[in-house]
Amino acid sequence: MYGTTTGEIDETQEEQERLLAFEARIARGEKIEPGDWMPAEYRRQLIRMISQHAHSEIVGQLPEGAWITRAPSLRRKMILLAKVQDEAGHGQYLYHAAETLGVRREEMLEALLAGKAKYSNVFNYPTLTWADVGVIGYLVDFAAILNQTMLARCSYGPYARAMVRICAEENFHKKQGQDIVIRLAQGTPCQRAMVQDAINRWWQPTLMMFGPPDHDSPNTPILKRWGIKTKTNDELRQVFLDTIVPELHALGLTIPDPDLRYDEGSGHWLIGPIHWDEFWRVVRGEGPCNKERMAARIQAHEDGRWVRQALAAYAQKQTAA
Amino acid sequence: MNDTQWRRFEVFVQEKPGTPYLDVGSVHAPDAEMALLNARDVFARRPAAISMWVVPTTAIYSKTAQELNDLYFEQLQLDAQAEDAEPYYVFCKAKSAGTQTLLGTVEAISPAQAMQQAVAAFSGEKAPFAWWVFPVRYVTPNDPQDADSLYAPAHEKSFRMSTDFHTYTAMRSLKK
Ligand SMILES: [Fe+2]
Ligand SMILES: [Fe+2]
Repeated sequence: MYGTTTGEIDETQEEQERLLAFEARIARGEKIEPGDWMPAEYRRQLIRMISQHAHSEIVGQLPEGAWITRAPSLRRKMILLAKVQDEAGHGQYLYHAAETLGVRREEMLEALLAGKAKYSNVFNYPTLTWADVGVIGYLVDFAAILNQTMLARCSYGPYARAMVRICAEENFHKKQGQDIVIRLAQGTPCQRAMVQDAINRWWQPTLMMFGPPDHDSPNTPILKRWGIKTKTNDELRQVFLDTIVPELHALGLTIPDPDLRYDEGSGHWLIGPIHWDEFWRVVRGEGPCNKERMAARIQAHEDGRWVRQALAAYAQKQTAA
Repeated sequence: MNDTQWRRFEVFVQEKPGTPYLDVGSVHAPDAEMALLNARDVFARRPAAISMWVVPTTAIYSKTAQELNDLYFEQLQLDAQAEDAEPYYVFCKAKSAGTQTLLGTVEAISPAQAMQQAVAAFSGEKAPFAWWVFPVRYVTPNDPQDADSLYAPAHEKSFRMSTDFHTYTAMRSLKK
């Protein structure tokens, strides 16, 4: 019934009427709230998206977190620490939004730690220099903002509200990164070379963040129909390019794509092929840092165990007293 | 292994004096005291609160407009086992893109009766999209004496604000 992603949709008369009423609400721009009737497939798609999104925020702390101890000044250290704390908070907003759909945070965390959950591929690349921190904030967080601004208008109330909170904070992430890139681009030849190298390495992984091209993204039609997404992967990618390409050029930086060109007719920046082979390799777990990221996450979970045990023991003692 | 799933608490924030408490989301914690500390870290890293409440999620009786349509008469039956009346807080989500917002209190003998009274007392011209009621006694507020130590530090951390970074001006001066 809905392209290739149809789950089990019950065809009974009542279900049909429910579905029509549900789609009419979405067409009117109403938010669906926990307790409201929703198709099983809507719930399934949301749990899939929100939990992946939550995992991405959590794992996303790791590449930049590695630079907290090596930040070049106390101010930069405080900024980076604040940003990484925000990402931890974003993960929590999202796990809790997913919980309103009937999954438990524990199940989601276990899936992540067991290596069964997906998270954004971009966090499986290494942060080699300080310039990477700037480029991640500027490009990766900006790409995330475009996706999240769209989701802040999505049809599921708890997800939309989490996104509104997140977007307000992401602006700080992007601007602190852009600020670093601007400084380095105006710095010594060595600093300029460092930031150019970071752009060269992060360009393709950032473009891949928007997901596979539309013809290869089977969930998109139903997500659009049910108001979860309002733009396709390729549409969002184009918005990113049209904003970022002129800015990087203005900074005297180049973009590692020999096919990049401005199309006068459409007013858009066009790019050469995206390295989708590499994308699917990283999805399969063969990226440069997949193992390192999972090991770090598991270690963090284990290291926190005694704190959780102490808190549980204290709470128990309080109720016993 | 099951050491991560504590009870869930809903978090309500008052942003400014005289404004109603708003639902901002939830946290997990072993007790209400820890829930308040977690709520502060999760929801008030920036100037966003002068006071917070946490309420066990299981204490919240919730009905969307759609559920009320479907279940209203069924719910009335639930009032059979009456206890002593007690005060309930009433929240509703009045705007489609809004969040649960405190409206006031009602006295009731059960959550279902509180819901009924809430709908009768607080329905405006346009029916809200969803209602929450819970007994006042389930609320754990932060100690007002702790408010400064909880919420004031955020005001000094201007580096957390996007307005602290003048990237637009920097980019404009480049393009000249
Ligand atoms: Fe984030
Ligand atoms: Fe971010």
